[in-house]
Amino acid sequence: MRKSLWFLVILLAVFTACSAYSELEVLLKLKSSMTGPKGSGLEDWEVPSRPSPSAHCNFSGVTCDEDLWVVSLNVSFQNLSGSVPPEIGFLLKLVNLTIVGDNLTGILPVEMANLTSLKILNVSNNAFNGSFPGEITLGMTQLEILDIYDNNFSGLLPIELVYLKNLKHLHLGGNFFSGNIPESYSKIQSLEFLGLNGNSLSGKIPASLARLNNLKQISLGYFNAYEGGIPPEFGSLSSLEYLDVASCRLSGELPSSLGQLKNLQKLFLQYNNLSGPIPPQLSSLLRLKVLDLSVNNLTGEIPESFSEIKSFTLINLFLNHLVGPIPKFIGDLPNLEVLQIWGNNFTSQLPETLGQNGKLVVLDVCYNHLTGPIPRDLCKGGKLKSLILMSNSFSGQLPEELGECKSLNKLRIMSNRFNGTIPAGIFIMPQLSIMELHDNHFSGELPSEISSDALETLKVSRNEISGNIPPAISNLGNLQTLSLEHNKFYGEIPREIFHLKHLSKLNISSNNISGEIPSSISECNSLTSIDLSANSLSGEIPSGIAKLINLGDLDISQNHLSGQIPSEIGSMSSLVALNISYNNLSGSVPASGQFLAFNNTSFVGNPNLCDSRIVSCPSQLLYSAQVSNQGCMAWFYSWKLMFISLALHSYL
Amino acid sequence: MAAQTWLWTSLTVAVTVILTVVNGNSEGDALFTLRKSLKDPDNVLQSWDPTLVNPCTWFHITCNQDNRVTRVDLGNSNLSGHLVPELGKLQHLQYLELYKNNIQGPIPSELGNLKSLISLDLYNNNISGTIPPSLGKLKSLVFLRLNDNRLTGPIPRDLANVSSLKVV
Repeated sequence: MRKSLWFLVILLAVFTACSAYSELEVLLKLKSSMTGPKGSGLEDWEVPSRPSPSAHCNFSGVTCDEDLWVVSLNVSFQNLSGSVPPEIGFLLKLVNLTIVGDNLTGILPVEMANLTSLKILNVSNNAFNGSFPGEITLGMTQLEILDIYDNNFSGLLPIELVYLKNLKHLHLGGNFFSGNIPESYSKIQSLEFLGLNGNSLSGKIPASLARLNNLKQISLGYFNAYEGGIPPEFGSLSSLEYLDVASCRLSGELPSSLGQLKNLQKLFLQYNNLSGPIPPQLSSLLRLKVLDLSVNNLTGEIPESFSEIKSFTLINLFLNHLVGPIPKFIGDLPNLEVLQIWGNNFTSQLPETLGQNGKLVVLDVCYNHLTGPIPRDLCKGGKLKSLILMSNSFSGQLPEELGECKSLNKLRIMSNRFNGTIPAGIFIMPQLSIMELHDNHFSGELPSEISSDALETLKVSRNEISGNIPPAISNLGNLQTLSLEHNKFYGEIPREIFHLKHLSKLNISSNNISGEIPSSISECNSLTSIDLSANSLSGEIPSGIAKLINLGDLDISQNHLSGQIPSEIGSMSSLVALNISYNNLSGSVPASGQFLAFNNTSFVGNPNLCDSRIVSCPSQLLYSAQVSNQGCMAWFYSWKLMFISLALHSYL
Repeated sequence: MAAQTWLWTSLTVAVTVILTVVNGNSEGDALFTLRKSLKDPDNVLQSWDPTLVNPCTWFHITCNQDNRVTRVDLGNSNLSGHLVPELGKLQHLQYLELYKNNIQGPIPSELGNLKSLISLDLYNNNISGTIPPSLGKLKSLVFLRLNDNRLTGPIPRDLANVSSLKVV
């Protein structure tokens, strides 16, 4: 009797020690559900060959405590493609649930409410949908991180979260939540990070959020569409380091109270409808590194008092209605890397000291009314990548130092009043991909030493550049666009130019170029557009031009080209625009192929050219070098005579 | 995955992304929609950067003085995928050169909105469906070449109203 009693006790003990599902069974159920029909992964989550109580603890991504309960599940960036089953609720000891970027779908099961030990719940970068079941968090009193960023959750923002006393990181961004931001979110006093960006939220931004004294980072913008503006109360968020309310239809003025955010490092308010001035009180933001107020309706000037903010690394003010000078202190900022203030009404000159901090990477001041010379030291640190000055009234010469700036990627200074010679070093820059110097008063000649694998766009048109076109241009192996038009280039077109395998647009019009069109033009088969018009080119049109299978636009008008129009041009199906007017061409315009599509204007101004699409032109055989100025008609009559005489011959 | 992801992951970097800034960029958006819809193994569309203010620095694009797109030159570019209705937004487009590729799908009827169009070259592709009658609205059209595709159905009568047509 005692033996059977003991047996019963042991049996009972064993029975109660096991739950309805073992940890192993739960994990295997998770696997089958999360690796959906098309998914893969979790290959090592298998029933062990020999029964072992700890086998599941060796599964990848699984961590157990000393009692073999699963405390951490971290399975991320695998293409699981399945869904989370209700059985997840059985992992009662789970502290960390991180399933990021696994392409998971479906809803979050309400059984997750049982996971009351959770500190970290991160299901970001998946495709979960439906409303977020906020009630599951009611028991998660230890929760510190709730991250559901980048999913397809919809409906209202969950209110149940306000009861969480330990929540530090809340990221609900990148979903389709709608409705207002709950005022009660101000109760989550422990919050250090709040992300609501990239949703469909509306209504006013609640001023009550200003009570979140521990908040370091708040992100509310992008795709949301709020009423009104930034609550002035936000000035009391004393711990705030990062404030992002960009691109969400904010209106009204910038509250001067934002100047109280002593710890603020990054302020993003771009692409809104903010108006009024930049408050000078913002100069109290002595830790501010990044200021982006671009694409708004701001007026007034850059406050002088901003000179106190030595920590600036990036200043974006582009596309506003700002006026006044660029203050001198901007040139003295010790850490400034990016200055983008284009599309405003700034006047006066660039600060002379700009670039002396040796850290400047991007300078974009285009579309303003700036004047004066270019500061010498813009590239002093050898880090300048983008120099964009176009559409201003800058004058003077380009500093020679600019020719030494090997870090340059983009040089766009067109439509200004620069003069002098272009520094030779610009033509051998290893990283420069865009060189746009057109529409200025540059003079002198292009250097004979030219080489780069990076340069794709070279435009020096509409200047006063003379000399020969350097053959070394052929060293620009990746050049796609070459614009030399409206200058004073003379001499011949170097045949080497047509060795450029990627050259697509070539414009040398309105220069003093002489000599013939090189026959090597036929090798340049990426060409889509050629303009050699308004020069003094002579000789014939090379028939090889017809080999250019991508050529859509050919303009060689206003030259001294002679000889006949190569008939091969008629079979260039790609050619949709042709201008050979005002030359000295002879023979006839073939009445076939592409020629049938072009207007008179394509051929006019060639006195010895007969347009056989309109009149009957004598056969090519009858033309000789002694074509007179009588044009077509004389030949027409003599052809008629010949025909009559042949006919008579056949009768006789 | 939420549609917003690609856009503001670049938020974290200090340089901002412009969405639709000046009206010129709706042309850039339209062309970028085309880019997303095409397969481009030779990377000819590599320069088509939608974060730029307008598409005028993009290769294979030509703009006029007002930064409006006048030419798209993508013949012989090894492209596949399909055309997009957004192409119809390019109100100043004169030359649409997409010949000798492997583009499939239909001709969007929105191409009939390209009121400045002089040349529509879609020949030598894999384009299917019928020729939209809306092409009859293209009053400046000189070149209309749709040969060597898989088009079916009748040639719309409306095309007879395009008196400028010279090459079909």
